[in-house]
Amino acid sequence: MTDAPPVLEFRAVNTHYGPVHVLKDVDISIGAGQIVCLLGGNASGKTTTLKTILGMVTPTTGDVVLDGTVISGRPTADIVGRGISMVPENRRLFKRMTVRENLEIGAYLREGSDLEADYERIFELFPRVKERLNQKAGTLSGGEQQMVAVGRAMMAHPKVLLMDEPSMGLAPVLVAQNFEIIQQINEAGTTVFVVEQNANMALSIADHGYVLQTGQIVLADTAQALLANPQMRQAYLGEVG
Amino acid sequence: MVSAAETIERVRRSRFNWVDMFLNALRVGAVVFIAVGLIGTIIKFAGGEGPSAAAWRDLVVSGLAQGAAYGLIALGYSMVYGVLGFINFAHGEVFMSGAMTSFFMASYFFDTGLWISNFVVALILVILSATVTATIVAVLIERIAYRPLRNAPRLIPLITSIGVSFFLQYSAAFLFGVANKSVPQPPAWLLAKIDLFGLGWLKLEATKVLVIAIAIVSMIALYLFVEKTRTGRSMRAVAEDKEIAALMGINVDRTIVTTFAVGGAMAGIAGSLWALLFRGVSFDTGFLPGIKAFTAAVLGGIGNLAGAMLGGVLLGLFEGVGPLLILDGWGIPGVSQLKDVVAFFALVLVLVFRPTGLLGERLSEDERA
Repeated sequence: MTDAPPVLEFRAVNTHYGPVHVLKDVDISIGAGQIVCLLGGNASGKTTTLKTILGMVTPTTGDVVLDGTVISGRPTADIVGRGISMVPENRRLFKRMTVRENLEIGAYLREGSDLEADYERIFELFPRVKERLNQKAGTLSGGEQQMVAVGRAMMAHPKVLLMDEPSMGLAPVLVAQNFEIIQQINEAGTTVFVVEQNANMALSIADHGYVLQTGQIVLADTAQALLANPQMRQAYLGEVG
Repeated sequence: MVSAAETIERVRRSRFNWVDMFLNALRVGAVVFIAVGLIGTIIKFAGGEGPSAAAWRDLVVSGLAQGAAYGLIALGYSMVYGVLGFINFAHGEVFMSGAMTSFFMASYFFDTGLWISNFVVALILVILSATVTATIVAVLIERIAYRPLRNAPRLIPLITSIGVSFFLQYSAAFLFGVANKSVPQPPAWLLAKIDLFGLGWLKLEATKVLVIAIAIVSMIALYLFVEKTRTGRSMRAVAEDKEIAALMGINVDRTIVTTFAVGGAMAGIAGSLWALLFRGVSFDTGFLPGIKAFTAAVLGGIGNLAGAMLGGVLLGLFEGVGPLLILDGWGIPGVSQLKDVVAFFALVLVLVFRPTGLLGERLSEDERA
């Protein structure tokens, strides 16, 4: 259903936690250079979807495919090395380390390469990060921490950047700023997969959207179509029907 | 209407409880006890009684040397606590394996004559072999005893570590016998006192100076390793958040092995220093120093490396000087036999005044994981 060639795909993925069937025949296709969002409420399987991409959960059946290679079943470090980075929910910086160390750890698998150009790119996006470089990450404000978290993920030069609930726990101004950042990163050439509860915000910047409900994809369309979809408006966009 | 001030006063009073009362009484009591002891000792000293200034100096150096060894061992407790969140009570036995190896190597070099003819080379080889042995023991413990319990509640590996401790202790007793083993005497120049910096009044026993110097070098090396290298950075990342560390591409299991290896190496060096300092090693050599080093780690703030080193040095110093400094002032006889009491009393004191340890920070529940 995407026009661009897919970078990351879910092909009929099923996952189980013991007897619990979490993801049910999930098909997702993330086109190169796009922003794709996955919407859904609590316990819909959003987190499991991310864990499946990162190899923390292995699908019972079906494959996760990155650039034509099946990556499901591989160890997390290997998958990260192949070009998938995540900005985790609530940022989760290494608070006792400096901002610089956080960024260096982001480039952990690129040890030996020159990081100066990467720093410059991050400072261009977030001038504030440059000022805070030698400060402990735990002393930063929520918005600044989000910048560092995005920067840390970008240090790995990901093909696909996963964003887990980027609007969680941030003030509305910062949420808007955050989505601008996502757009900027995307325009600079990185494919972004956003998992969100804030459907309005996510769809406003996304190319495509998927709606997950109790482990099943119930809606999949372009972002504009989803924004216009009456079923969608009633269930997720806070409109009384 | 109740005014805000009244409400605050009521809340404050309702917070009164007997535990606070007891702790405050304990705090005041401890301060008074120490102050009276100190004053007593000072009066004695001024009156020309008790140990001479030179004797005090020797006590301080002995305390520092022993404390340096405690600090090296304490690093292992603190690092493992940092990454896995439990106390590895078998760490004392890792230290013992280093001390035991030092005994065997030293005896061997004594027999071949190297111990006397070229002591420095012999000592380097002794320390290296002790370090290698202790590292291997520490890594094997992790692999066999703790890795299968990685996802178990933290009480389980804690209890396992006590079992491993007994296992290693009695394996050593079985393999090498229960008798105390005498490490050969170092050459005379190391036993003599040297005049440090040519000051005249700073005449110290060369062995102790050497022990302190080696410990300082090891601690600096460890500090640089943890703070400045890529592996050290990944260790700190794993200690802070294993899940996110894995997301950065860090191999968490391998990092944990490295942590055990580095902690073991430090304990191995401490084992050599201990053998050099006390010239006696037995199967239970690891027990008391192990507990003391654990005490030192808690005293300094567990999980904090600088704290472990500081805690070790302070504990050794307090153990060396404390009995005479405080208990003697009360006129208590035979005080030097009470040094263990003093050491653990120091722990109680620190925990009463500063529950997180000297350099420790309060950790939230999920940070402790």
